[in-house]
Amino acid sequence: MGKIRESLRKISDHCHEIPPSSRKGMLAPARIYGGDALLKSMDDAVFEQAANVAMLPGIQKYALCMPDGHSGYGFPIGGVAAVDPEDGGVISPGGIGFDINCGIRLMATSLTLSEIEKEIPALVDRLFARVPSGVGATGEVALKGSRLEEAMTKGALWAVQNGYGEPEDLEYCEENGRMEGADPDAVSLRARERGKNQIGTLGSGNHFLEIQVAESSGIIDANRAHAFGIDREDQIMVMIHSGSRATGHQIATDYLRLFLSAQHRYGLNLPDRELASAPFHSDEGRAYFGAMNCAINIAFLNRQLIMHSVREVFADHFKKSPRELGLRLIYDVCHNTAKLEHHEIDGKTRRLLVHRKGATRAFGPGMKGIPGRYTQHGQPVIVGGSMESGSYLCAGTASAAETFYSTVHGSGRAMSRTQARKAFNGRELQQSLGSRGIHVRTASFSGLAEEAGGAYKDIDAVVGAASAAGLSVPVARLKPVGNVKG
Amino acid sequence: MAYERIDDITRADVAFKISAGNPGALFVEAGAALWAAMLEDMGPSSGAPPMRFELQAESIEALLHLFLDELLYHKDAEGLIVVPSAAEVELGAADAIVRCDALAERIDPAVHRFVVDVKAVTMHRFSVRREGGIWTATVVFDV
Repeated sequence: MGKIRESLRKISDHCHEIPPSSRKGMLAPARIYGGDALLKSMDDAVFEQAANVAMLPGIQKYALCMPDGHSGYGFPIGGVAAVDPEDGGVISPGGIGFDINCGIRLMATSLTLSEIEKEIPALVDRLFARVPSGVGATGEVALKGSRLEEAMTKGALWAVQNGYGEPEDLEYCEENGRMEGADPDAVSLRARERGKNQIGTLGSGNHFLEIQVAESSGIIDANRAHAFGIDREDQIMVMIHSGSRATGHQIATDYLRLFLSAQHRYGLNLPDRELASAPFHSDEGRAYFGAMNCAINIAFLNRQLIMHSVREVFADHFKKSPRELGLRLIYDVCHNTAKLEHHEIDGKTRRLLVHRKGATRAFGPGMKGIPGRYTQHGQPVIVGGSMESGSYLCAGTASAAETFYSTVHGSGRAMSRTQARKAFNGRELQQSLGSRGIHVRTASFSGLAEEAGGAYKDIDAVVGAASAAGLSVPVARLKPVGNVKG
Repeated sequence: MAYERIDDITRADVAFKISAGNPGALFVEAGAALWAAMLEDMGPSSGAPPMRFELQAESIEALLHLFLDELLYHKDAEGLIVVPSAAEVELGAADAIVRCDALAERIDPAVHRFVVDVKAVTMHRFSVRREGGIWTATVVFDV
């Protein structure tokens, strides 16, 4: 069996396809987005995994991989697949990932860089002290029993009802920060116990809390930028990247194990154990969907609590209220989910289960599910980059129907963690970043080295490829000036 | 016998090849690999109390997965670094059992220097094999 990369055929300058004839069992083509340079930077496993995803029963149109794709487990990171539950479609934890609803939220402020530049090191120190990060960190809200079950069904709404945010925050979250269909009974005691102390914590690895500036030179689409809340020169923004913490990790582990033992009963024989699946309409499939939705809500809650802490830190530091400081949520997006959405397939609207693993929903202008204020501009899409290269605010477009309105989620790794630790020194990196006006606090210097900008792909190329392929459009480039690393 | 990092399996996460002369030693080494993925310095022992646990699964592969997941459970639910010191694995016709002795240190950020957190033990290329009298395992941790 030759390398499947060799079977790629060019669909356009920004999309290549693995035809279903390339591998026995493929039910659809696999499409990989990105120009030649990005494709060359992807490891071979990306193409193998995309072809395997095309074998999922019920898959519609294509197995997809976004331009920031890199190898994952089962699905590649950047993988998207829509299945039709009414056509034998399956649900696969490997299409969602262990960190269910890992995602990003972006806040605007009314502050500008010139007003607070000297305050940024102190602000980063205060954020580092206030927002628990790293291994073993515990949050201030410990949830057990019925309170945890309520939180699992309410998500960010639970936070707002308990004084951790404003009602208007909910409007600016995907799914309004509360996923329907959560079933706490499907969440094991082990998953509840593992995550009970971690709500409101950042985590580690690539999770971060970052102060950024929207420089005027970084504004690409002034109209959309203004609509989303970037309305002054060198405006200070805050970005939060975290997920469902250990509750989500354990839910994924529990159901991966269950599906591995159960899938043979349904005649499923997929080529990778991390693609273990169950029909959506099965006891196992329904249970996982209910448990996964609980984890989605825990992640919404987690990011809401972190945002609340950010507001408190800013308010205390500047002796003004969060409202006076313009600390407003622009949007919160999910990266690792499977959601029931309506999409058009060959002229007919069907309800599909869309798996997105390291990919962002990117609804175009006028689509249902976008806050009213943004309707004509498309859904905000937040693309997290490294602490060196910066991040992007983008928007969904009408032309992304082929990817079920999905786009990139980040830079995508170009270097393994071991390679990065050999190439970079965490303390030197912190000093180097400081000299360039990026103030970093970290729970681990080795962990910091693993997240160096050089370990990631060029985010400009990734966002540019998504734009060229019609998946999303860039709105503003956001430059880091302060970072808290888990 | 020992564990070694493998760099060509995954970009975002951490993979190990583990080998030992018997299944019990393999489990102890796998536990050491898990902590090596997370910690760059265990710091001095605080004289933590020993603990003992027993797990059962349908195969040795499933048992190793469950065993490593158990260590993650103690880390997150109880804030403990559970380091296996000795393990005995009993392989039956239809199941496998591990009885493990371990030391359980309470996580102290002032003492324990963590690099990253391990979220989960993946099934990606997960394997346990016996080759020429040596037991080997391949494990990829999601971080």
